[in-house]
This record gives sequence, structure tokens and C-alpha cells, in this order.
Amino acid sequence: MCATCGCGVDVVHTHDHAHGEGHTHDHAHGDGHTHDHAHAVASAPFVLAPEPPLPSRRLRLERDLLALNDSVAAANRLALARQRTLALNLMSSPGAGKTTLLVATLRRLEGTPVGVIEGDQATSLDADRIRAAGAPAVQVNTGAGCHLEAGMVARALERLPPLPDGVLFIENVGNLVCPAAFDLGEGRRVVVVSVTEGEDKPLKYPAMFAGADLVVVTKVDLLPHLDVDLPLLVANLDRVAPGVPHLPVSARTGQGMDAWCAWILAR
Amino acid sequence: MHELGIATDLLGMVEEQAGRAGMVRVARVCLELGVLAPVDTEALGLAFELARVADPVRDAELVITRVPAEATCRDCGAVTEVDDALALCSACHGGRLTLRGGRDLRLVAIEGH
Repeated sequence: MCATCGCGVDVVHTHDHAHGEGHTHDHAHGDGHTHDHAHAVASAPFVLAPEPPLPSRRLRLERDLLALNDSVAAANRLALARQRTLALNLMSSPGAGKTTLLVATLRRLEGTPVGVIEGDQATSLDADRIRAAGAPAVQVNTGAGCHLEAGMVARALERLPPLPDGVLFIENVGNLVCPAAFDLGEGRRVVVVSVTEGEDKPLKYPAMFAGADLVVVTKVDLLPHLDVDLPLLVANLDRVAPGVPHLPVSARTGQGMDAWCAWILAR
Repeated sequence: MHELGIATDLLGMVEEQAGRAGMVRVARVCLELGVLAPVDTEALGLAFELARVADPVRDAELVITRVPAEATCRDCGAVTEVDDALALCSACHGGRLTLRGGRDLRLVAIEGH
């Protein structure tokens, strides 16, 4: 007789679980029957031990999680290099004067192939202004997004004509925080800060300014109406972005615009 | 914001690696996050919890080790480790530090069975 369930010894069955005391099955067995289920009986002489825990193992990996955007950016960089197009990623807070600077710049770059990718949460207002100034422009609307990413730039590039030996301006979403984290495949990063924003922005947004290849200080025509300490702004730039040149400009009066365009054309 | 995208990419990586290694339950996901990396740890932790809905990562614990940046003082030359972008030189208390490293987010290991 099976010591576990009390049926005939020739029956083959399995027990695949354990029961505590006090559990009963009430079923009858005749001879020559088969069991196709597992069961246990109250007051069995033993209980099945629980499965021992499986040994834990540690898998050593080395995966850069921020590189996923970067691989698309690298592809953008390659595509732009094939046309010898200089791509500039323009970043600033909203209202620093990026679009106005671009419109004034386009007039001065006659003869150079130029295209613009505009990034905003909503509207095509900026792309419309660029097209009205005579250059091709693609508007990217990020919706809830706060920055442009490499994939968005890749898709926008498909909608622009090639710019051999030319310049692609990428006007990022107005934001001094998030855009700094996303390589778009640009050749240079230009951070725009206006004199109306005060002297402390480089300290408050160090990652953005530290990543700049050039800082353009806009709206200098307003200086007579402001109490801003320009040497302090420059000192703060020097602290977080050592060795990065800065150019004071006014898109409105033209001050500094020659130096800005010369920097662009010198690549 | 983008921490949810990072968490989703991270879990995709973990699932792929666990699958290749025959791991059916991931107990821990170990990350190294640079102190200057553009990623917020709290937001990443929250996004991770929201995104880990199914096996093998359902109960995985996220473990983040912070990695400092190396700072070279442009005034006195001292080289130290810092944990923020506006740190002062510990030798001369100047504020002109050139920073290296501390900007990555790396999946370094997963533990499980």
C-alpha cells in the first residue's frame, strides 16, 4: 500500500506538493487504477521540503544608457559631414532672441546654402519667419516634449534640401536645462543669452553653458536701459565655460553681427 | 520627462541581457550614475517602478551608485573629486575648476536567477 495515499503499491503517481496537518482527501480507490493527479493525505509521515532558493548570479555588463540617442546623432553627423554642412545647435531660454538673430543672420549669409530646423512645443511661427526671410525651414513640434532629440533631427533632415558647404541652423526648444543632454549630431553648440536675463544664468545652468562652443550675448542695444553687470556675466561664463568665446551682438542695430557671421563662416 | 524614456530603454536592455543569460527573475539592476549626468535619480527611480510591469523584472530593485567628477583647479592646480558643477577647490577655495567625467549613466550589472 502507498504510504502516502493508501492505494495499491502498483499505482504510479506523483506528489508534487506538500500539505500540512489536517488536510484530507476523500476519494475511494479500487485495484488497478491510475492516478493522474497529485495529492497528499492528512497526517502523512513526512512533508516534502520546499524547493531550495536558486543560486543568485551577477551578470557584469557595461552599457551606456545615454548612448542610445548618441548613435542616431552619430548618423546625423556622418550625413552632414558628407555634404560638408556645418550644423549649429542654438540653445537658450525662451525669448533670448534666437529666431530674431537667425533672421538677421540669414540676410548676411547670401550666397551660402542655408537651412533651418525649428523646434517648439507648438505652432509653426518660427519656421514661418525663417521662410519669409528666404531660407528653407522645417518645423518640429515636440508636443509635451521640452527638447529636440537626434531622431527628430534625422527626420527633419529628410525634408530639407542638401546644403553642400553650407550651414544648418537647428533652433532648439527654448529651455536652458534639457536640450544640453541631447546630442543632435551638430558640429557646434551655440548658447544664446540676452542681457535682460541678468548675470547669473551661467551659474544657474552650468551644464548648458559648459557644453557651449560659443556664447552669443544678445540685445546689447538695451544695455543703457539695464543695470546688468556685463563683466560679471563674462566672469561667470569663464568660471563654468573656461576658454569658450563670447560675442556681444544686437540683431536690431547690427552691432557684433559681422564677428558672429565671421565665426560661422570660419567653421 | 525623459527619465521615463531612459527607464524604458534600461528595462529593455535588462530583459534582453537576462533572456540571453537564461535569467528568469531579475532581483537587482545596478547602475552607475555620474554626478553631472543629466538624469534625476528620484525621477528615474519612479519611472523604473512604473515601467517594470512584467517578468523577469517585475520585482527588480534598482541600485544606483553615484560617480564623482574629476576637478582640476585652474588657479592652484589641485586635482580632486567633486559632486557638483559649482564646487569650490578644496585646496584654495577658488571656483575655477575644469571638470572631467561624471556625466555617464551606465548599466553595470544585473543580479538574479
